[in-house]
Amino acid sequence: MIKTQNSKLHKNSRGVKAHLGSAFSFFAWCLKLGICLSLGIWNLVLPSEAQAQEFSLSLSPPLLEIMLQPGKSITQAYEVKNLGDSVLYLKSFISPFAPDPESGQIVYQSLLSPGQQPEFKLNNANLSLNDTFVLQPNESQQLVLKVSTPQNLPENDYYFTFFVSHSSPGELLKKTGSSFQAQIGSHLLLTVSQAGEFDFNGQIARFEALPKITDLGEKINFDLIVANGGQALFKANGKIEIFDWLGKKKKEIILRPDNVLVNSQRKIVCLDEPCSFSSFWPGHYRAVITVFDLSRSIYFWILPTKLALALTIGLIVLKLVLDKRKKNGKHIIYNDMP
Amino acid sequence: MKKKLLIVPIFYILYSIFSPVMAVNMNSDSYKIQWGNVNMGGGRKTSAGYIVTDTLGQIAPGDYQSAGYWLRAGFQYIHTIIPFTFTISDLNIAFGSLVVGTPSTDTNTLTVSARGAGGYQVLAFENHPLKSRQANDIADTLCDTSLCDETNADPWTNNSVYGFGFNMSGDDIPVDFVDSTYFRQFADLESAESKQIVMSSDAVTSSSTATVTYKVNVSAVQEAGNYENAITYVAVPGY
Repeated sequence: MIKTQNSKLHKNSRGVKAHLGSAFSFFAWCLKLGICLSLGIWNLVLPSEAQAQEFSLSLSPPLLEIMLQPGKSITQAYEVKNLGDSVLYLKSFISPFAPDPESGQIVYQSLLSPGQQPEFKLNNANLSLNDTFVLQPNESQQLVLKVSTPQNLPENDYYFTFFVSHSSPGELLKKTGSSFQAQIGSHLLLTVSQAGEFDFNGQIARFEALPKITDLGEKINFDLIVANGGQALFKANGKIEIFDWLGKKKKEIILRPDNVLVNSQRKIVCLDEPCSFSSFWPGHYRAVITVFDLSRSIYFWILPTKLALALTIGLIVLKLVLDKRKKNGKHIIYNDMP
Repeated sequence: MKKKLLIVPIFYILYSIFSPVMAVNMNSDSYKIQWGNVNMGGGRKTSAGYIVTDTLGQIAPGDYQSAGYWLRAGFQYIHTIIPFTFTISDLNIAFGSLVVGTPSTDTNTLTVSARGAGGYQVLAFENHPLKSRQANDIADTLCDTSLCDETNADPWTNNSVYGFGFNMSGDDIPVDFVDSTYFRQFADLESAESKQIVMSSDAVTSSSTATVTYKVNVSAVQEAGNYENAITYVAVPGY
């Protein structure tokens, strides 16, 4: 009986618990719903910050060098990749440029009339130059650029940049601020030549050692500018050789074979290391620059100037000390005299 | 025995017929050359008036003519064709509500990866000064000494000097950005000012990052409104 009573009690308690549990679950469900509704209303009422939109794009190859006969054409596939986490609206276009005669820096120009310069088009099935296309995050697009030269195009150098531009600026918060557009480019250096040969007219515009006199172990930097007065670009293939006063070669520095464009000059850097030299051996040195068949020599000194200065100061101080001691010595003798 | 002896010539004939044509389009991880014929010779041909230059073999004019073109992608001295990459961390900045005589600033970063190029440049320009819908301008700043422009930075610390300008810090920035107080104007396309160089290097770089700080300060006579402009950054590799 007790068992039955206990069972009944047990059943009743279980029932009460079940009722309580259901009530609690219902209450919890209402609480969750209330929180969700509150959050949703909160977000609707308060203005949300626009998420930062990033632009991150890669373009390959970074440079294209072409030699082409008039009346011919080539194609080159470029790969554009969206490396960021935002959808990008892009378009491609071509801009001609010329190098600044003094600095070699790029100066963009207007496109010439058809027939006066090479012609460009995209060979993509559904895409042309200046058309907008979309790249999702981590998506790539191949752009197949066709370059053609009209039959009567003058034999000359023509320089362009193939640009991919972000064409949709970000949205402002309707407050004072700036939106940003981005362009990334790859250069095309085109030489039009029927025979594949051209006049070479390069010059070493400047080759200097800075400074001309330096101390043991201190660097001498070489300043090198190469000029191109010819009909086509050339590469500054060459080297700097340094010889000591005995004519023994101490070092050879290879130049980075950068392109020197027509009607411009360019500061040339060295490949894999700075264009500099230092030595702990004093003497009169000679540096010889060779670029193609062009050659020039300059001279500089490495002297132990700091050491000499230290020794000189030391000798002066020593002399002063010795002189003072001599004087003191005479004083003592005189004082000791009766 | 005779049958066995025939196997070798038969094999040779079949191989000659079906062997892959040796590629005339040469590729390696440092360049890609497309030309009709390959003529590998030594050195570089020069004469008194002419030079034919290339770095891998040389083009004999006859062979060049038969193909009509010569092409190289990438840089000769870099052993892999590596993409050129440019990143802007944020494509829009907002200064919020401006308070007279209290400058507002905001920043973003520019990152360039030019591992496959000998150097790079980032150019910048604005379409016009900050302009409202009513065509009122917040002029580009002249800085404290009235000497800064799009090519020269100068200190801008006086809160009674008004305008819009930018400061840069980080890698490969112009040397006139001495510290965080030095500001420049943006090159103004509306005034036909030339694009300005804001980052540049002659070296191959795996990652160069610069932070741009934009600053605006308005006077009490500045007309109310929202002022906006568009700034374009152009990243190009070296040539």
